[in-house]
Amino acid sequence: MLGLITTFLAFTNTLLRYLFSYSPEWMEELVIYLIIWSAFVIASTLVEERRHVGATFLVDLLPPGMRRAVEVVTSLLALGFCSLVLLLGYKIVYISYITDERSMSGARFPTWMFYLALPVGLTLITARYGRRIYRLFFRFSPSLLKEGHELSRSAHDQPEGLTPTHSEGLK
Amino acid sequence: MIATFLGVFFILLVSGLPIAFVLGVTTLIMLLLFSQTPLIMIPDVMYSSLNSFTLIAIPFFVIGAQFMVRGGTSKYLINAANCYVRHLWGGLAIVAVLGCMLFGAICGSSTATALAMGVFMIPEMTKRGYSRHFAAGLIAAAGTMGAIIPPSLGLLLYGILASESIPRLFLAGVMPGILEGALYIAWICIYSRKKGYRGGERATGKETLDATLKALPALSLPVIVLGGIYSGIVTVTEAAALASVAALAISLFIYREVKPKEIVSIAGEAMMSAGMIMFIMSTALLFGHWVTETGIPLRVVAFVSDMNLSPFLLLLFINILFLILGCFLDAVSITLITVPILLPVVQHMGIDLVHFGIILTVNMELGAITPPVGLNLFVLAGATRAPLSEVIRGAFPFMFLDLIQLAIITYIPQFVLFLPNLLM
Repeated sequence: MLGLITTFLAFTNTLLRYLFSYSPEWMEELVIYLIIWSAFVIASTLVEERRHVGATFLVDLLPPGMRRAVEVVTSLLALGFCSLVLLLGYKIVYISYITDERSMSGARFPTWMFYLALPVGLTLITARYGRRIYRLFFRFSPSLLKEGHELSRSAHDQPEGLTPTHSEGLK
Repeated sequence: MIATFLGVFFILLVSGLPIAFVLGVTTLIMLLLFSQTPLIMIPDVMYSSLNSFTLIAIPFFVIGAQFMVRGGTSKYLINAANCYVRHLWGGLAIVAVLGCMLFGAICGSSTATALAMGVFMIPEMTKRGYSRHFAAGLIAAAGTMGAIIPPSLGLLLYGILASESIPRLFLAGVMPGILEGALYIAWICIYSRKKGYRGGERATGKETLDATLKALPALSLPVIVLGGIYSGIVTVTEAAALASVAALAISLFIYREVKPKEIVSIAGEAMMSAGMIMFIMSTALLFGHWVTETGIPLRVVAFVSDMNLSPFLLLLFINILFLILGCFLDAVSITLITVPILLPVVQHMGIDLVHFGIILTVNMELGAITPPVGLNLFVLAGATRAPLSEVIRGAFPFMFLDLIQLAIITYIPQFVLFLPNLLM
């Protein structure tokens, strides 16, 4: 998953360097669209890693059983929202496809390619919430309720840049 | 309708559902219940809200900041600042403040600034006899200057929402940032004398020159970015892209703390945070769209004019509202939720939108260090392995200093606005 995202990124980064030597408008457009694509795809990875920000300070006070129930409800809500919007999203893609709508720039990209980012991203999110609900019901473990920042603190520990390795110090 | 809206919204909010989905689900429910608008507008608005060239400055600024954090930039900035002030009382603490200000001029995020400085400064400060809670609290608070000293992600976000000039907003952030730094340094001087935190020996001229030269590549970044924007050579987005490439080059070729194989993972990590902001943005603008359509902002305007509030009182109420929200929510969410509702009111009362943007941002800074939810507190507790309560205790005096700063910038608009008015 991350591989996909970073390929996008590496691609945009190379594009960037061109952006400064010459800046045709279609390039600008492409950079925007690639970033939108990666934003929606990343959103699903964030669901998996529990890194979307939310106000969890109150539910954290609940006993684990209640907490689990709240999680099921909220996950179902998110799932419902995403699945409805993704259907509508595919509809837009379809409309734009059959009417052959083109983008504003000289390159005339077919716009359905970009509209597709939203439903695809939401499909991935829906799948991840689906899996999460399944786990909450049948494969429950307390770590499911932890937030991303708690997980990273215990699990894969600190990324190497964060440990004070600069040994020379200050005088 | 408003009662249903508030009910649904707050229940979802405290349920721990991610903010992005809170906003999406609330809007969906309200549309289903009270509106004839075809639902197909949902994906349409979510998509087109991201389709903006200014918006993509966000990932670039985040990537640039990530490279600066990992690239050892903070170390060179600290070394340089250290040579100038280390002989003063509380010298090392002052170094931390100056370091945060300099780093803030490179990076637009308060958490990134606090992290970059904290990882290096807190062990250094505790080694020199400073108490850990003071060091961690100081860095948590001083890191917030990263979000007000330009470039600033918060101001960028506000500028997009309010269609306000981003270069003007950035310039307006300069004086409040310097004010905050000055207040902190003043407090450190008082506190260090009381606690007996002495400075080290004075740096020699050669040492100072050497450290300054080493810090120059890092210091050249703000010159490139801000110089580029204000001379009109590049747009904000291009400047952000330029900054990310320059940050990469500096950490890869000059300071050599980033290895080529790490580039992908660092950029990927940065993209994750940027993607999170952008995803919230897409549902938040959907929410904003719905809010505007219902005419809630107009009702708020009518309500405020009925109350005959003076701008003075209105700003006081808004500040209190922001402070309360800041205790529980993160800056991006608050900005995206409140700005569509408050903007018409503020405009109606004749308050300058640039001034309002700065008030909002300073409040968000405070929000980053107010418990129970203060991102900088969490980050520093994580990085130093200190208990959260210790960091909160250390940050406490700085919250008061921030309140003084907030009062000054709220009620002396000229203090904020004279720089952008002078230069643009």
